[in-house]
Amino acid sequence: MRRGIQSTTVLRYCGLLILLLFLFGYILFPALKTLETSLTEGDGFSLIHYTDFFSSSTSRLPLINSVVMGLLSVVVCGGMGISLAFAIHFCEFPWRSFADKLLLLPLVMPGIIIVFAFVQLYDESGMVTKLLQLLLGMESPPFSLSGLSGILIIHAYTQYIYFYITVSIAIKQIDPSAIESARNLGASRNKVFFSIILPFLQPAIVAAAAMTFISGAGSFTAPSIIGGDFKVLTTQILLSKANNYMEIAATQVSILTCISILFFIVFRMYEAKSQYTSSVKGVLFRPVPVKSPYNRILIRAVVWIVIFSILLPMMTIVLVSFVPSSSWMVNYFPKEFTLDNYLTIFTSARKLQPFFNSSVMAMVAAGIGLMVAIPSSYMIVKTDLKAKWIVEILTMLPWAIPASAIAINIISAFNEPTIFSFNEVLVGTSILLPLGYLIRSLPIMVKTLNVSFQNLNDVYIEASKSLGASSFHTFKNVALPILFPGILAGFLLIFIRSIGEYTISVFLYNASNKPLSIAMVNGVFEYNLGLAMSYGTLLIVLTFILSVIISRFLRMSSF
Amino acid sequence: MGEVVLQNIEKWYGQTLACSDINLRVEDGQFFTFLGPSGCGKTTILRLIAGFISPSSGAIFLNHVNITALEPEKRNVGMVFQNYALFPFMTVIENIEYGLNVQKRSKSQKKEKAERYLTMVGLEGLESRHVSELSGGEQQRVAFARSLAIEPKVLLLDEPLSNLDARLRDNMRAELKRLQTQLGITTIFVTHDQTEALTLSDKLAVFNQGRCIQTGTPEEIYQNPQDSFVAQFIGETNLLSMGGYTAEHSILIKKIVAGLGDVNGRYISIRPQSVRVSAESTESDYSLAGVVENRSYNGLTTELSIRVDDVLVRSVQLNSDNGLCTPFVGQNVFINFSVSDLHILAG
Repeated sequence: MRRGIQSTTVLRYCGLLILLLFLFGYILFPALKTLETSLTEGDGFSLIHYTDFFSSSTSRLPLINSVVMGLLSVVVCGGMGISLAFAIHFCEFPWRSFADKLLLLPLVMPGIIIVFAFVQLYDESGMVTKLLQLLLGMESPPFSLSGLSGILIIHAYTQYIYFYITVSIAIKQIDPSAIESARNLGASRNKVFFSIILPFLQPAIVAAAAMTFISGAGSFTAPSIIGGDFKVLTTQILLSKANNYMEIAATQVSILTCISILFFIVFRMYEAKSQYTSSVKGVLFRPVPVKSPYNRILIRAVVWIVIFSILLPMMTIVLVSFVPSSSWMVNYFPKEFTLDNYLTIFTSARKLQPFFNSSVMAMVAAGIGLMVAIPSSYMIVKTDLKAKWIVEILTMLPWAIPASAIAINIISAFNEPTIFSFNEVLVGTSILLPLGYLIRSLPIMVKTLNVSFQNLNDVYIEASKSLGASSFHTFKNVALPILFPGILAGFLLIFIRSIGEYTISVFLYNASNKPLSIAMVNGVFEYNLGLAMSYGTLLIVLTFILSVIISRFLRMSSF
Repeated sequence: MGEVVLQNIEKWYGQTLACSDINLRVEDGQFFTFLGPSGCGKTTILRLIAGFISPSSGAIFLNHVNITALEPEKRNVGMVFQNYALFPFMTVIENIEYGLNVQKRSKSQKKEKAERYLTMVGLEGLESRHVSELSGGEQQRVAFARSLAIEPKVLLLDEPLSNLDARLRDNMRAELKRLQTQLGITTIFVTHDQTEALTLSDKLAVFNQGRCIQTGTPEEIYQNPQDSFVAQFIGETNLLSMGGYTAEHSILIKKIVAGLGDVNGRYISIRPQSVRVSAESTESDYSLAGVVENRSYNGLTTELSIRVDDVLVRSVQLNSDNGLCTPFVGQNVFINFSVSDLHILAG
């Protein structure tokens, strides 16, 4: 037994060491290298890049724009996400489960597809814009999807999901007896809402606000495609990198990261301070009926309009994928349809290559991600090791770092030989892109697996051992069946997030591993819209199938 | 079957002492109960026997073999957990066969044993149900069958009745005793419910603050509590502090002690059912005048609170008692008891 304990302890510490080395080498070290680059001029320490940045109004403007974009995204997405969460989960709503699933769709749709779909619908020559122009008999388009307002519309579509998910979960956890006792003590509906319901939801709202701010301020896809004159820090980072001003790029990345981490820390502190647990177990919150028939109709109409507007971009992508690219030169609306775009992809090895590249890289990122996330989650949830807080912080850190910053960090760290790159220069190789995908998705994978490990109650392991099973038998027959759905769901989630990823791809891809998202953008800019949308449709179909599988596995993992 | 001996067991969790100075012998075939309030260390001792945790010092013997350092899976000690710990992704039969698979039993042996124990716990016909489709009582029966199927030397039960409603708990208590008697398996049962402990056990140990205060048969412990904690924890009692005697606070204590002669102790305990009530003074060792302050009819019994001098004394009387005195609140009565009804407690 004593020897057994010692060998287990040694193994555990060896595992921890390898894990910490990985997390340090590929998450913290790259961030520190970027910081070092930003603080270096010539051979010595210097704050010159920061003083230059803050003394120039041209440099400061994208920073201010990024913060404004982040804050306005919080307002827009908060309003939309909270309202939808209340409509679906607080009030009685027919077809709730179906509507809920549809509202979750933007979570798994690659951002680049959504941006292009919006362009097809609402840009100056978009189908909806032109339809309205014709119907209203206007000489010029009624609106244009560009600048800050365009970006915010796309953010509202893609990021309301943070508020919707967290507030929906919080609503389900409201203690109904607290509401009933408040009513029993004479509180009006408004009083109950502000004094009971809102405090229950407050931590969820703050958490979602922080996530939306980080995501909004660090957004790249929408500003780079429809931003126009509205310059933000992320697009400036790409510009600095493209011009090989790596010190300036590093400074911009460090400033953006600092702002994001600041919000992340504030959110964690608030979350730790204001967690409420219900006093009653097993009593589920039941949605309340909406008494006024007008309000009932209004709520349902608004939700279904939102759902339609969520489905419309996806339907547009599918529709455009069947339209010959040349026909867009002469028509606003599609008039002829063809399978040529798909035939081109499936008959030309060169056209299929991006799909193949993205699949392989997403698979590699998800596979290695699992190898990091499983021991990380195990340590965070199942051990009392003192070093586990380091593992938790390092695995969650990429959540607070915008995707463009992750890419620059990787370039900074691996453009010279280090022990973490096995003494090789990795910039320019195909290895960096899946590494970027992995780092970006690690937090969500660890969070998913944490839930699985929390479901793995220690008492099952003890029960198995009390029945005479060895540690291996227990792991194989008891732990794995409980963990497996979560592991597979985590794997597929990372795969989905990686296969259509655009921001990291644009910084790190090379000629030999051109991913699908870049092929799509190239297709659009080369006026080969049908081909680009065919790639998009394939992605939608793939992510939809995988999402169904994920939801099945996640349901299984909650037994 | 198995005999379990705990020798000078001590367990620390960091700076917190969970239990200390535990010396116990659980004899072969005995139904032995660890009784005590929440946090008294009884589950810790059960987990030490199961091997899920190791003692900080001391030794555990099973059939005279030191198993202190043995892995839990090698002890052949079955355990039924408080929340049953049934594997949620398996059916009833798969749960029961789990331990038999580990033992690499043949198909026919597995079938025969699983069926035997399934029948024993009255769950025939539910073999292919998933455990989530079972009621609490049925889940608990599966947990028993699963633990019994491996034919362990000792069966450990960690408050297995606590999650059941009152009626089901009564039924399961009888069922549990029947199973244990039928199989003759050494059973260690953890509970904080004194009724369960008294009705089920051959022998029990009362724990408080990580220490074993007293061991004995239910009758021994009930009738001769070793200290004020045991007297109060096991059943109801009138606990009178003798500290009041020296400070001249309690006239009643003075009267009682005067009749006892030279005594050493801190408390006097008198069970409420030993305090008989009469309208007139009797020939008992003690017959003391008092006034009824409260009366509570409980169907089978009537409970009275009687003010005697400066102390409130409780009396419980069987309503079927022919010589019953049923006084009203405010009535002057006499409480009667003999010297043998008094327990002088050291602490």
